[in-house]
Amino acid sequence: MADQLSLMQGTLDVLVLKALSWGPQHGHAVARAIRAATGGTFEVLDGSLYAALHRLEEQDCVDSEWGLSPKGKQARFYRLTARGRRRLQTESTQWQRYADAVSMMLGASALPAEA
Amino acid sequence: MFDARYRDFIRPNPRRELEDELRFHLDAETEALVAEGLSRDEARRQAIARFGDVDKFLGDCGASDRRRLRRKRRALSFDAFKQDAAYAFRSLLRRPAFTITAILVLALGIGANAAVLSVVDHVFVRPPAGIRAPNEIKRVYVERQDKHGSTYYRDAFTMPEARIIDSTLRGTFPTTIFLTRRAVPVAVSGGAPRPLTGAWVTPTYFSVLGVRPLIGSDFDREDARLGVSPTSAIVSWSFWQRELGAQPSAIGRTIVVDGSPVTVRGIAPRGFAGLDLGVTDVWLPLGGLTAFKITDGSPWYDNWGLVAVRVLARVPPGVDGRRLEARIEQAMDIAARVRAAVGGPPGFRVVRGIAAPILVSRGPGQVSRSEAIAAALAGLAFLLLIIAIANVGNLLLGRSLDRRRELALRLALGMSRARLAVGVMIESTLIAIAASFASLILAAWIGRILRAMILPGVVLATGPVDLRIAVITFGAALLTGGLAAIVPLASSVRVDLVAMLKGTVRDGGARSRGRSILVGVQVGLSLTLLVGTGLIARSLYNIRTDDLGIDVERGIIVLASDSPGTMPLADIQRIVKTYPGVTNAALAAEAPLYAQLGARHLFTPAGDTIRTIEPGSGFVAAEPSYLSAIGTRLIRGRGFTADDGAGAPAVMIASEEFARRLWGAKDPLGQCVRVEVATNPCYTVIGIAENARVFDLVEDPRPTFYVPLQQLPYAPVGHSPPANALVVRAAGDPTALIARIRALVGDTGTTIRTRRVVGMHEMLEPRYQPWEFAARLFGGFAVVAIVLTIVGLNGVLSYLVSIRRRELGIRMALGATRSRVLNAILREGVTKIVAGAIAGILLSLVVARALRPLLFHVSPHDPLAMFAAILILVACALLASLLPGLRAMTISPSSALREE
Repeated sequence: MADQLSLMQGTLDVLVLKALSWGPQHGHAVARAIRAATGGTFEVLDGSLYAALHRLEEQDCVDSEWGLSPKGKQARFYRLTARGRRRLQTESTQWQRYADAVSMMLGASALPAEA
Repeated sequence: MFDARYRDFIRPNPRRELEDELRFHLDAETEALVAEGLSRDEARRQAIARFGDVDKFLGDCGASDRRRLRRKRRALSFDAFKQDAAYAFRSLLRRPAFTITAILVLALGIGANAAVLSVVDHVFVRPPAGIRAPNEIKRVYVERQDKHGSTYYRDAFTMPEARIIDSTLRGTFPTTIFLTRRAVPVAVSGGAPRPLTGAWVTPTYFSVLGVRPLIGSDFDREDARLGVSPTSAIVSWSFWQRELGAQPSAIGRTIVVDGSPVTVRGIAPRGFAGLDLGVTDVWLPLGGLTAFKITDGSPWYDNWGLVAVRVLARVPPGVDGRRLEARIEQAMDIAARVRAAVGGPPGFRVVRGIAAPILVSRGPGQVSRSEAIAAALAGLAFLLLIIAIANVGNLLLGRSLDRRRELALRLALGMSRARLAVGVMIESTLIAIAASFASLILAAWIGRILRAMILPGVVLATGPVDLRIAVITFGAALLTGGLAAIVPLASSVRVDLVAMLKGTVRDGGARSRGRSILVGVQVGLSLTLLVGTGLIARSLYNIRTDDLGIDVERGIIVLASDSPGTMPLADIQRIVKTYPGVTNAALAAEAPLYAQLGARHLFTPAGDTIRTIEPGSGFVAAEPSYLSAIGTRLIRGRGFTADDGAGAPAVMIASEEFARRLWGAKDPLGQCVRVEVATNPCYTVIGIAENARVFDLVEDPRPTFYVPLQQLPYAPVGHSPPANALVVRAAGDPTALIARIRALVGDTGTTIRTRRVVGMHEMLEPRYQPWEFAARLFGGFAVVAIVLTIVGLNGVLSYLVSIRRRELGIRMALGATRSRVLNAILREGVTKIVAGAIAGILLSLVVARALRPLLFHVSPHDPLAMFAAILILVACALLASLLPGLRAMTISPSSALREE
């Protein structure tokens, strides 16, 4: 359970960073974007998403300021910092290699012969 | 709207922001779900469900927000601190005169203290290094009582007494006997002997102290024997390093101590340098000591009159120190009985035994002159430190007053008063740090001078500035910097914004009162120093002009020598008498200022013991012209002639004190005294000589009598009595004559102690040193204090004048003359010192009491010294107020009035 949670946390951070990479967003938009892009694969509670945003802000990966939403309401907008951008880059590369390795194994037809 | 956008700028409220964020999210999500076709209620429910645990959200996010903000605040305040520090640094650089003055004043105060501490530490605080559990080691004292009932303490014993103490204590308390001598000639492998400090000890010395030789062996039982010349010695680590090449092969090498060759048997461990203030370089068995010669030829260690050795005992853990004292008393009881049994001279009654700390200064004995000076010094240095703190406080305060508009401006721009206070603290801390470096340099320099002056000839184990002193100095600097900042701090935090910005402050109020108090403190302390200087200067003058009863300016002493092949004194006398510029040369049994013969018992012609002279009298046996050679005047009667020789009737010349003690108001001329033994010939008094100093500059008149050398009471029959010294009197300045006689006798000594030919003034000159030294010291401190006080007073008055500029202008416009304005300011200056001066007089009464060992024919409450001190102080106050007064005189009424 603990492993799963920490895995989830790491994953969520990358997703949030990715969602912000297209430009500053408020929390609600980030939640919507993740849900839309992953086709609802992950069941993410919005509360956890906000926890991730604030955690990332504490780590200086994102920055926030209050502004007006497109509908003219007061909303807190999050923006990637330089540090967040770097982190997104390294973590997405790692995720890619991880996913490739797992899918290679799962897609293999037989044990490779020992040299 | 405005509030929401800028509140973060003004004061972030993370909790409220989270609630806003939550509300926005739920509203937006509800809207979105409604747009997807859900009913408003259903949409709201789903939005809440999708959000999850709201409390957890508030908790988690709140926590990380708070952490983030805290970090940000810290970074901000560190930035502010860096800014403030840079600002303080720049503003100190902008005012170099102020900065340098403050640093120097503080450095002087701290440096003087560090230097004094490095001396006082050794004299009073630090037990000798290298000893195991030094607090267990006790110095054995006895309190004795003379027949007049007055008591005194003594840690020195005769050897027979010490041996009885040793054997009585030994069972329970490990005990050792020792004796330290300075300037013992020590030579290594044929080199020239050099004066070093040596200790003669019983074999238990090192084991009692818990010190083990680094190499080689400790003394053993063999070394306990008395009267056997020493064969081996233990040398100090530094001697081994310096003289013996630091090789283990040094064991077994031969060195020459005091003329006798001994083998090096051990090297003391590094860090152990004996028990005395100086560094001891060589230890020898006590039984082999030959330095003392008793007139009748008996060994010194059997003599009940030669008080020479000291005793130490270790009180093992768990044993009551009072038991040691009881044992000491028991031993002294035994000693008294033995003394009576062997017919030794009567000793004084022992009141009690005392086990005291090793440091002599902590013992019950009389305060020595060095100790008194060291203590006075510590007090002086502390006074100077307080003056320095007051002055730097004053400077900082004056500065913050100069800058009050700037400060007010910064306050108005929103700077917090706390930050303002931090700024002042940073400034004073920067000054303190600079001062502590400067003070270490000063301390090393002053420390060397102080050591040379207070402890001449003593090599201390550590330099003037060691780590301990450096750490204390640094701490003291920061502390004093902080103290100095307190007053300006209090005032800068209370800046009256409006008045300051408008420039309409008319009265210094509390701030100038604060400065006046600081000036008062300085005035009081300066006065104390001035009074002390006056008292010591008068003592110095009195002692310089005091009639010693001997003429030391033109007297020369030539000592006899044991070395084979040296010219006998009688031959020297014959040759010297032919030198031009010699008016007189007389042989004497003992050298004046070095030694005096003693007569313990005196009898009337009828053979009755004369009691009024106890514990005995000193006497001089010399050739007839001795009195005129040494410059002692004959008051009545006649001097000796060549006829008062071996076979002639016994005659003596009595000193005034001797005559007074024996015969009171009766005419002493023609009286008769038997010396030492009731059946000895009776010496008839033929003349009365003035009282003369025997050993020191300051001593109570000692009863003394003079007899012809040929009539020495216990001269061996048939031999010509031994003369140990020749006293030569020069017609004028003796310098050239001294050099000539030195060449004649081959005297190549380099110190007073190793020389054979010595001018009497050379002997006594070092004895004036405590007064010279104290006078210079007090004078120096007083000058510094006065200068600081003038600076402080001048600052206060200048400030007052600048504040009262308008008022003075109005007065002058109304017809006050310039001289009246000047008078008013001068009067102000003098009244400012009144309170301080009164406090100073009271304080000086206390300080003078502490100076008593140094006062000579001056009352501690000498009105002249006080009057002079007050006069100087008033003159300084006038001087300090002159400049502000002149400035006030030149105020132009019209421009002062226009200013507002």
